[in-house]
Amino acid sequence: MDGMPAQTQTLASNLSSKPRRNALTRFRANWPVIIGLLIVLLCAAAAICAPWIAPYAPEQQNLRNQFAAPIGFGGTSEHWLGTDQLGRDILSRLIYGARISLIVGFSAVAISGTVGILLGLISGYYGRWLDAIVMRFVELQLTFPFMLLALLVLAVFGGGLRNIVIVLSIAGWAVYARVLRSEVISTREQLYVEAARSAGVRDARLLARHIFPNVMSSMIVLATFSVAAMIVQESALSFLGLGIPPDQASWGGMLADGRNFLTIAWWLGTLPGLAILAVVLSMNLIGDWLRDVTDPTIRNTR
Amino acid sequence: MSARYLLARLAQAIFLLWGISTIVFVVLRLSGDPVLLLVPQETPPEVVDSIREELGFNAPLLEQYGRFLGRLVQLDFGQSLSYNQPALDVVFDRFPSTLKLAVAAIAFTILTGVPLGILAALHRNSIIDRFALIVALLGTSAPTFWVGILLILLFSVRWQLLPSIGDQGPSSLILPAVTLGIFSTAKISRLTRSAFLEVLRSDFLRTARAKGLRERVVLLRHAAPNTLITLVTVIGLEFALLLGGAVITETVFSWPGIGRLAIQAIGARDYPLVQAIVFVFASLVILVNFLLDLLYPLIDPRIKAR
Repeated sequence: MDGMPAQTQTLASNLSSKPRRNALTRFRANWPVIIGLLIVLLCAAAAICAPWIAPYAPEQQNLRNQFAAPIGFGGTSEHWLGTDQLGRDILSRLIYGARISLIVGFSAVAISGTVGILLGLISGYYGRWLDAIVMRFVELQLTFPFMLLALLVLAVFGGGLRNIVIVLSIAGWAVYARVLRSEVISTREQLYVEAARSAGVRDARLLARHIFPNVMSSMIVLATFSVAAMIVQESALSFLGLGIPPDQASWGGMLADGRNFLTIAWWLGTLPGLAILAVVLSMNLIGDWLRDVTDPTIRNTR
Repeated sequence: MSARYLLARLAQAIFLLWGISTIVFVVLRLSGDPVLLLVPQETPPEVVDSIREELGFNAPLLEQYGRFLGRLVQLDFGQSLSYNQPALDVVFDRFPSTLKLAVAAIAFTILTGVPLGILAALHRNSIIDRFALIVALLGTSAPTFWVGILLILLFSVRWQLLPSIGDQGPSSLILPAVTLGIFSTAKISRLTRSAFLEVLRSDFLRTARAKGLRERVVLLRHAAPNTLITLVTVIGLEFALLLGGAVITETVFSWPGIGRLAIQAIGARDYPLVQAIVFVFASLVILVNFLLDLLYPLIDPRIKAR
């Protein structure tokens, strides 16, 4: 047949062009997520490599060069993003601040997520009095005005990285427990769980191998959004002066400094906020995307 | 609304308030000797001892806790250490300021978030929808205090249109209210949009159109009321959250409300005042939740009062 070679040809050209076109259409559909991922990765890389890429030490003062403007606003390439009231380099402080934000965000989510997931699993699976106790604690946690609890604990035990992570973890576990509990309760009654149980699978294994994998996706989505929320809360606590001590570079602390000099140096009050916005927005975009791919049912309402 | 349900809710509220007060009590007592913070450093030890005795900090912790609970039942939190008047009075003095701010913020939220969400739903996938999405994304991602700083930079420093510090009349309410409300605006515009989209696809709306009703009537009389329940729930819960968010906004704008009072009280280790503030905040959250439950049957007759 004459058509055969042509067909194979188009097939071949299809095959060769398909991946590229796919990648392009995929990028078109998901470009915000991809950019978000890039920003988070860039930020993580900056945080890890801080000592090598930061042009100055974050605490290095230069009282003869206070309030130097960023480049493009009358500043020089000596300090790309300008300097603060003590002549410290803003870019270097932003790079070191990324460390704090990312460490706090991810470790607080890891701790609160683990605790919340364990309690949610147990509470949803065993029910009865265990459930009742855990849920009372969840209610307590969700009624407690978080900011006040955090401020109180930090004022009593002092700020610093470790205490902030602890406080945010204490504040964060309840959401996981509540969401997971209700999912476990509905999963518990599924046939495949019933089948596994009647096949003699023991509780711990049943929870770990049959129930948890089926409720995991919502936990991952929740965790992604939580990283964003934790980063905002850390910066808020540092802004209020009860988080990271002011001599260390943190984005919230830098904004607290900036607030005092709004009339003379606008960059102090804007640049660290832009950094927070970029990272938090990226995490939220990734979370949105994860939610959509793991839950096909909500696609229609978008 | 059965008596049994009300009793159960009351029991739950009492449990929550007891639990929260106990947590605060424990955390505060872990912070060391409050008397040493109250007196000047060179005070002789005998004097310190007598003050300690007088204020009851000498008794065993359990006895202190018992006494604390006994007074809590009567809503007596003791004298504020820094204001020298009953702690609860100090809180209620500042309360109108915070309430004013929260109400203004929620008004801003409703006036902007709801229309934005409705427009986005009606013109799905249009430019308006895109705009609403971007507003929502930025609004949920930008930290509250930074939004406040930006607003001050633009409206107070640059254009000198609005005051940025304290309460100097109605115009000074604008910036704090917008700052406090912007996060909720973002959230509520998204929720309004999805609630509306859901209603727009429903059978009864198709019926209403099929009957030949005008589009305006379809939207206002048939679509809008059915999104109310979602909106009222979220707005109610946001209101409770706003009161908490006031801590940051009030600090940025030096607003004389409970939020700033809380920071001062915590900084000064003013135990009674801290207790009173946390108690009032928690009560408000519980109260708002309860009022929401009362509202549901009124909005949607299908939900029966329990």
